[in-house]
Amino acid sequence: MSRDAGSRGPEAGPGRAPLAYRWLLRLLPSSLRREFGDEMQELMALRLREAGTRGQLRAWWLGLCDIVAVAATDRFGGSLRGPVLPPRRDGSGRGGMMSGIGFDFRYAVRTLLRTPTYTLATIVTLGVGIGAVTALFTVVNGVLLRPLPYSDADRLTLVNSRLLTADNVADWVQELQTGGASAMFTIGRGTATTPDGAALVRVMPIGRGLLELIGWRTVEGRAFTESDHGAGGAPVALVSERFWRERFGVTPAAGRTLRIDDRAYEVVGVLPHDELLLYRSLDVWIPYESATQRTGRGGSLLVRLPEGHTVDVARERMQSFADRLVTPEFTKQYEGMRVSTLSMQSIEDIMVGDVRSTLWLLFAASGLVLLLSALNVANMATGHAQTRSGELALRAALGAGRLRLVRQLTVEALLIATAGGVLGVLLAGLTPALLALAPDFLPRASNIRLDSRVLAWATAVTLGAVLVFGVLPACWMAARSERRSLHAAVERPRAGLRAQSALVVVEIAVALVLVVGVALLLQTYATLRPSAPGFRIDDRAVASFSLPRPTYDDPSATRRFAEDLVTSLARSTGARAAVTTDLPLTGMTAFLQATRETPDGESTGVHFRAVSVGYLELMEMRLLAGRTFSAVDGRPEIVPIIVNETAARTLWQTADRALGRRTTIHLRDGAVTGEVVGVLQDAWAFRGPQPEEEVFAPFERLPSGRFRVVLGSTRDRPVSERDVMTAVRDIDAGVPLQGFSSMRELVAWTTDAPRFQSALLGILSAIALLLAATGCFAVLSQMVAQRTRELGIRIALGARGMSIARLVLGRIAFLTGIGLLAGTAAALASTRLLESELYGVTPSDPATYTTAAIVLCITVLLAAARPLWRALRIDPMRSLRDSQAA
Amino acid sequence: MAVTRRDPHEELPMHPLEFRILLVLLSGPNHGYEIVKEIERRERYGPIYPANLYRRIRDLMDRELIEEVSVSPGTLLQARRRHLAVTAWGRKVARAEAARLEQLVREARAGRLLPTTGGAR
Repeated sequence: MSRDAGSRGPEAGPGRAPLAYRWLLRLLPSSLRREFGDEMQELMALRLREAGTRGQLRAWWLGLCDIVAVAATDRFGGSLRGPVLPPRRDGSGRGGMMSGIGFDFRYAVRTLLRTPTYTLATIVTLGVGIGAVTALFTVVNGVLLRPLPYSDADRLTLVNSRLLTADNVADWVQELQTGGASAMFTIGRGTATTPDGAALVRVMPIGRGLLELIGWRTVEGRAFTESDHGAGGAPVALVSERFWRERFGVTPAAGRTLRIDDRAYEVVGVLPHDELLLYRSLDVWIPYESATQRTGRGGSLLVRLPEGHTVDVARERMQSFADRLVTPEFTKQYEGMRVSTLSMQSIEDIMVGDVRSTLWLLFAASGLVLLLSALNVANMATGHAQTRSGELALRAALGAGRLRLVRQLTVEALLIATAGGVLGVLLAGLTPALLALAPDFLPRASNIRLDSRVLAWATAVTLGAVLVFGVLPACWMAARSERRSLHAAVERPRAGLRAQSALVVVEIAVALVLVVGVALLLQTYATLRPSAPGFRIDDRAVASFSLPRPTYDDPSATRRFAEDLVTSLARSTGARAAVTTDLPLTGMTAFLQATRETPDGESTGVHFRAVSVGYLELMEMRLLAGRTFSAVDGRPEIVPIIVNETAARTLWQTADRALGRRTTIHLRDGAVTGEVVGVLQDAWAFRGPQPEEEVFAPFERLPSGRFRVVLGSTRDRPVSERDVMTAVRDIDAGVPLQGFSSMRELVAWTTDAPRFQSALLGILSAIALLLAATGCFAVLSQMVAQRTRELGIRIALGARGMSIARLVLGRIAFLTGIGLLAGTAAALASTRLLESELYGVTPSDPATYTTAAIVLCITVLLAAARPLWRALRIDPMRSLRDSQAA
Repeated sequence: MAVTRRDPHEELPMHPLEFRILLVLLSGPNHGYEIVKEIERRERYGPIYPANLYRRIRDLMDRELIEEVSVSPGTLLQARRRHLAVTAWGRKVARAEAARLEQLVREARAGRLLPTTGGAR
């Protein structure tokens, strides 16, 4: 109607305002509405039409303020006549309104101070809820919501391929159709000479244009120039602000010399950021070209996809391109293995993809805690308001309008919520301490801090909480006090108790969901506890190799290289070293699988690892029976093998009788016969602590071109990547070092994530339990207080303690029962989200549910203790006297 | 009219919006919607929202500064609108307010807030 109304000429109005506005008009005095309602709608419709699409919200807001201001002035006094109360320019009469609000605030403060216990309890309860949800929001905000510090971060994509080399990168770039927005880089390590001694630094060789691609500028000095990237360029480096400040502390950095490994670099500039790509922090950047001259490594390609291109589509196109690049040599090198030729992932996925689901999960859990605390405060507020129903009824009788009473109660709620919100933000400020639990778990952790968005969030949450716990009960109370006579209001109502009981049911249900969730994760964590992996994690470094073919096609060449490397490392660094084809838990490359024949002729896979003499000792794996490998081992046709307990049990039913047994192991190159010389205690194999069959054979007998060297690297005598590279170069300069890291880093992903989650969820569920207990306590206390007279009569008539206890506990038992049922259903539905995070326990594990239910029952009983005690101690004479006096 | 004995200065100072409503109505009877459009056309004031406007209008009616007048009904839409006109008392009050404002402007000129050229001195 409003649309065509405008075409009827200047006399025709813009029509009627939307239904919502008509509804809002009801706030105005009915006389005004009756007289001018239609015209007001007409004017509002004009305002909305003028505002256009973008101004709608503003127009609505002004329209709402207009109505509220007029309604308030009209109802709560304040003359329109200038001399008495000079109105504002826009005539909303806010002067009168403010003085009313000011009065409300003073009154509310006095009321709250009169009941300090109630006030403090509500503030703390709400503060804990707001704190939990704000803390998690701080993390989610820092890790997931804050934009990555690169220009066009959403289009930056990382291309990795074994077929990508410095030589053919131009072809890749052309195929990617990025218009040149691409750059090569690798990530390596080096040992820097600092004033405090040698330090392991993360070095990133970067190709031309990488800094421009991600939009970073130096804060001091200059970036790399074309000549730095050229073949004959002098060695130059950029350092991160943080690295330079912590390690050197002197400014300016530009122009100084930085020694990394055996090379001196001139520092030409400082970069401000300390996060990039896969690593949380980087220390030094050097030109890619000068680094590849020395190490001959490949690298990764960072590209900015053209606008409108998705990673999936680009990957599909590039996959066929990569497949075309496959050479016979490549096929031969990776024969028998499933080797992917291409991986493309957006930077965002790489950096936060792993934690995204976990963080949202924790955030949801904190939301539950907030809901619980708001419900709890609503519970308390309802109970509190009931004790004030007399006061409210009196004020209503003295002429206070309904809106006036609602406003009064809302102001009280607002005060409590604001105090709770401040407390919550203070609690959320502890987030960094919480994060210390998992230093390596969260990417972008440096971004986690209280910022304006977090504060805006906390404010919004606080106001939302006011709505839930303040305004609604207030409306309800005001409506009641208006309806009821003074006398009736003084009588204690039962309706409030019903509402509180419903809240208790919800609280118990929500608490059960959280407790079940945390119990499941705690079990996962207990299983994955890093203290019992069955091998040494600390003070061990790992270097990975993939020997180039065809030079190392000959097994004896491989064997010789590995032996020389171990000897050379032991000589140069004094560290113990041993070789293995695969480490536990790494799963970084396809592991070799041997098949064995079971007695009934079927073949199953076992984890097969060829290890050098000394590996089992270096890894501190425990031998249960027999012996480990020795330098001279066995007859040529029989391979000595060591099996773990699980393998021994699967193959021969018992670990004791495995020694001396023989079995055929089918490897890629053929079958060998193995004879068991030792049995090992089970250790983590591939998937963590779940027992898996493992078979070890001497590397000397069954060498493989892909292997890792484990090094004993202690703090006093650390082995650096540089040491390994030197040792390798002395033996064969053509062999690249594939990777170097500490054993702890390799296993961190398996152990850190559940620890972090269970710690956080543990805190959240402890809060939830506390809140549920508070809720039960409040309801029971209320009930006992309300039924004091009835209980008194019962006691006077000879009721025993037992029947009184049954009366009091019966109610809470009923509520708990319903709450547990509802909670179980909700937990069954929601813990399925946890499935991928769980290990060694199913989301619907009955034992866990039972335990959680018992924990909740105990909590409820503890909460019920004091009210029950009071009920049992009721003095019949006094209760009767008191109730008569009332 | 009995109101003639009253002192118009009792109604001063007027709220700016009320004074503007009177000013618009001095040029002839009109209704709220058109009054708003006219005020906003003459001067950058507003935007004026409905509740405040009609509360002012009702207040002016209560104080007998304006009154409802009947005009020949045109369309149905016009019939729903209440046409308002300034009363004789309203005219007096508006005049007193204008004089008050003029005095204020004179003082502003004396204080060199405004240029004195073309002044009423």
